Formats: sequence, structure tokens, C-alpha cells
Amino acid sequence: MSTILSQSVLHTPNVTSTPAPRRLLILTAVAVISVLIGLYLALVWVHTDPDQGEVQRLFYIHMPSFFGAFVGFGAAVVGGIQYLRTRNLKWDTLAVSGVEVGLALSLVNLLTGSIWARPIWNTWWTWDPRLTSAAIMCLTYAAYLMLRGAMENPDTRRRFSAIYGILAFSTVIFTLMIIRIRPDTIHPAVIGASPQNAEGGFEAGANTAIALLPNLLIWGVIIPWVLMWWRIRLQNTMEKVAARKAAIADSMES
Amino acid sequence: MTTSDFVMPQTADYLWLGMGVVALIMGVFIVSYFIRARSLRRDMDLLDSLEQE
Repeated sequence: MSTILSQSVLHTPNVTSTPAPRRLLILTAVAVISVLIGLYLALVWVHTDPDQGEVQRLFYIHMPSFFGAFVGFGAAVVGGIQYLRTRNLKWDTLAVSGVEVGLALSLVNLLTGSIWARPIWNTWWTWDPRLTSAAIMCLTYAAYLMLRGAMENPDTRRRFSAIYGILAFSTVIFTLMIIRIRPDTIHPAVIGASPQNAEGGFEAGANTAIALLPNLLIWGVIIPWVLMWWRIRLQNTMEKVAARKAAIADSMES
Repeated sequence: MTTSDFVMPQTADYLWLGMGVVALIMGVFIVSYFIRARSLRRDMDLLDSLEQE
């Protein structure tokens, strides 16, 4: 994976000096069209769940957006490990881009879950193990961005970010696994049997799979990929501007 | 209870609230990208003019 990233996305020039590459523009157009197709499948094509009503359709974004966040945070792990190995700036760029995109998608996951819970569980929020771990995951990555932004020294910032990004992924694994290890959760499982206390599960038929699988591809692969690519271009420009500012400051001092 | 007595829960408002929140989060993310890119473009222009002086 790191080789593929190294040869394509990470060699993107900065955002201000060069126009976006053709591949990125095509991918962006594909992302927009695929989101519209995914929304059609989720909001129109698939049948309405008789027990939950229309709100169940949020599931087709709620679950795939978690996998999109997984991809973003996973990219931060790859970027962090590679940065610590090579000290090459492009891997730090990948890591911060992955965290930002992952955080946006994990907020989508968290808030769509909360809105779904209101009519189904009769509450916006409950301190269930799954919900709590997902909230901790979001806060952990929000702290990553805040702490990174507060560090002045670029080398310290990049090294800290790499280590933090690798360690923070434990919250993603924990969120993914918790409904398998805590039987008291009320969050239903989609793959495999739901926990004993789960509330709000639904019958997943062939139509569910037809609506879910494209949305998993869209929100779990295409959207994180295209957003990270754009974000990497922005980060490259930020680094370039910072380097030029430092060079001018040095020349003014001397 | 017969089939004709079954009433599907009216939860469409929550669906549209959820879709609105999704659009808001993704919209804020994408708009923030454009704002940051524009700000960096201004910085580049300023740095160009400083270097020329």
C-alpha cells in the first residue's frame, strides 16, 4: 500500500502552483456521481423498514462512513510508521490528511447514529460501550489535530504526530471490536449475531445488501481517497508556504 | 392485530435531519479546504512580493 501511495497520491504537487491532475478531477467527478447513486439506493430504491420506518435508511451512510473513517485513520498509521522509518515529509502529510478525513467521517458516523437512536432507542445518546468508545475515538483524533497545531517545532510536531497517530488507532480497533467483547451493549451488529441486549436491529435481505455494498465502496473507499488526495495537495502547499516564510525570516535576521 | 392494523412508525423527519447533518459536516469540510487554499494563495502572493523587494 505504501508503495502505491508513494508513486501516485503523495507525489501530488501543491495546490496553488499547479492545476489539479486529470486523475484527481476524474476521481472527484466519479465520487460526486457515485454519492448520488448511493443516495438514490439508500433513500429511494431500498424498501422502507416496517419496524423502524424511514429513519432506518440512515444505516446506509452510518455504517459505511465508519469504514471511511477506518481508512483515513489507517492511512495515519501507515503514514506514521513510514515517517518514523524514513523521516520523509510526504508520510507526515499522508498521516495528517488521513486523520482529518477520518475525523469528518467518524463525526458523520457518530451523529447519524445519534439521530437514528432518538426514535428507535428513545434517546439521542446513551453511555453504551459502543457509543462511548466511538465518542472517545472522535475525541482522540480531535486532540491529535489540536496538539499538532499547537506544536511550534516542525520535527517535534511530525514525530509526535506519527507516534500519536499509531497509538490512537487502538481506539478504532476497540470501537470495532467492543460489541463482540461487551455483551451488555444495545448496539446491534450487522455482520454476525447481534449481542443479547441489542435493540434496533432489522431484517437484512437481498435488497439491503444491494443498497449497502455500493455505499460501502463509496463512503469507505472513494470518498476518503478523493478527500485525502485533495487534502494532501493542501498540506503540500502549507509546507511550502511555511518553508518560504522561514527562509524570508532567516534572510531578514541575517 | 391484523395486517391492516399495522402502522409504520413515522420517522422520516429524523431521516432528513440525519441527511442534513451529513451534508453539513461534509460541506464544512469541503468549504474549509477552499478557504484554506485561498488563504495560502494570498500568502504565496505576499511572499512573492516580499521576495521581489
